[in-house]
Amino acid sequence: MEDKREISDVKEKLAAAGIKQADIDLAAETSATLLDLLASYPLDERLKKSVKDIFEDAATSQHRTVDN
Amino acid sequence: MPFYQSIPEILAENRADKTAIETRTEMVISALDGLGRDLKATVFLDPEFSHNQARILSSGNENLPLFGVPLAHKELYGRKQTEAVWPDEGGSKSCKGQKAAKTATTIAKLDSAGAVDCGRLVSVEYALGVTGHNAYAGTPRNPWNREYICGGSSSGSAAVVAGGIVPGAMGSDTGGSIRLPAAACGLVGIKPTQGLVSRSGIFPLSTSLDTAGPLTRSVEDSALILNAITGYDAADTMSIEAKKIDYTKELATGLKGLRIGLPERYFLEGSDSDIADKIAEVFDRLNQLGARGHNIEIKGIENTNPLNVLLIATEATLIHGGRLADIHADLNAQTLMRILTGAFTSPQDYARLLACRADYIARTLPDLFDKVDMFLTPVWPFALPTIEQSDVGSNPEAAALVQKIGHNTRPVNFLGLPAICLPIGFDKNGLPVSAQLVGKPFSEDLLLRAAHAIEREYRFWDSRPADIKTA
Repeated sequence: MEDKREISDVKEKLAAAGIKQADIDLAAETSATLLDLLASYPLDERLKKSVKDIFEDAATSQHRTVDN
Repeated sequence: MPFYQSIPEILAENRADKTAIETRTEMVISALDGLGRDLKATVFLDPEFSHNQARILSSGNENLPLFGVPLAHKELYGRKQTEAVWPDEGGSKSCKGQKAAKTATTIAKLDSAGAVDCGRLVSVEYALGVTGHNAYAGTPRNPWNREYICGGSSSGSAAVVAGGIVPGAMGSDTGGSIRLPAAACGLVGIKPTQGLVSRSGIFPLSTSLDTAGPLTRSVEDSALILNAITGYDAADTMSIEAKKIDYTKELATGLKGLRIGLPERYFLEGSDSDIADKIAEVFDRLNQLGARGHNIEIKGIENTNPLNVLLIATEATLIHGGRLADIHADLNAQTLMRILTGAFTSPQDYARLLACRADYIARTLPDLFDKVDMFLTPVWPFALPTIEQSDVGSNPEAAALVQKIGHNTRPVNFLGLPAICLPIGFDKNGLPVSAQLVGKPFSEDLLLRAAHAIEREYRFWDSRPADIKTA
């Protein structure tokens, strides 16, 4: 019920902005498919590092594994 | 003074005779105004600024690394200074008349390196498109066959480099927008590691995913431009302080010892068989040349393309969605659709999306790059379509087509990894076919080294677009 209310709120705001209902409905459908995929991802919530943190760590430990 | 010159060739001429800088600048500006507009690639020229820049350089330090090299760049790169405030419309009627808010850090770095900035080139609207279509700014034509697309969103950059007008142009890549046009036009394209090159002063699409990089005709030219543009920038919130590397130093070292993976599932299996066969052939050739190749599996990679699409849409909405009431009628139908898709992402979903991205990267990279130094994939998953074939507007096919075109490129953006694409031949319609090498974070030097070996093997630029007349 909560999700449906939020979606309808968004739809109303977009309609009030003058966007065609058909476009809004198509976008909502596309979004729903993508959000379902997001919801199904097995997230390990113990990981606290951001993407930037991960890449900063990678930058400080640049190394080579190649034999020239 | 012919076109299709490499950066080393231009540098040699400029250092031997400094008057060549101004002469060449004039020829390039003229070509951007002629052929560039013919290819529907040129957006903006400021001949007075470019000539002045060339004049100052011609009496200056010849040891600058890009001494007098003429470049032109995707429209999204801002220039704002006392003597020049250039337009920055984001390729969109919705930003008609908008001027640059600042000079992009990358542009300032290229200026300091001695490059001559010759103008701005067509971008897909808001950088939100992979075919190159732009009803407002024009749809650039592929120099290899003008009925075909250049790919997007750095479409104009690809057209003028493949057309021989300049040796390099900056593009931007959020889901493939350097690599797809580079591949479509037979160019080398680099999408750098997230955080390596500043995005400050570039018209934004996605805070998390935007990257900036060059399109060139040769690996060495890409390395020379990369040398000039990398470096930490506090003005870019995602900028990372990485070791400064000379990307030209080990270019010719060869493939010996490089471990290269071939991820058949998803990448090759998701591409047309003739494209997959070409990539498999490249993989065999790399093994013959001394690389250590083996098949790899990247678990969960199939989810990264749609999640990348969602992240782009969500962040595009955060950046541009507040103006929707005012601008929606001026947006291309496809741009509007992609921004609207992001409007339904709640703050909780957005937080989860960022967390999932970090989680997937943290889980995937250590194991993957324990086995290989880089992996090889196609770029376009099918033969390049014509401008007409791919003009799908916002009908329901568009979402599927957009997702399919980015099949091999978006996962790399989601992972934040560096990638280089380069041409390896031609498809059944005579358009370029390219391979992509994807490396571990901050391994652009290894990617360039491998690409250089492939380039020497395939010698793609021994041929040129048949209908481009050079000076």
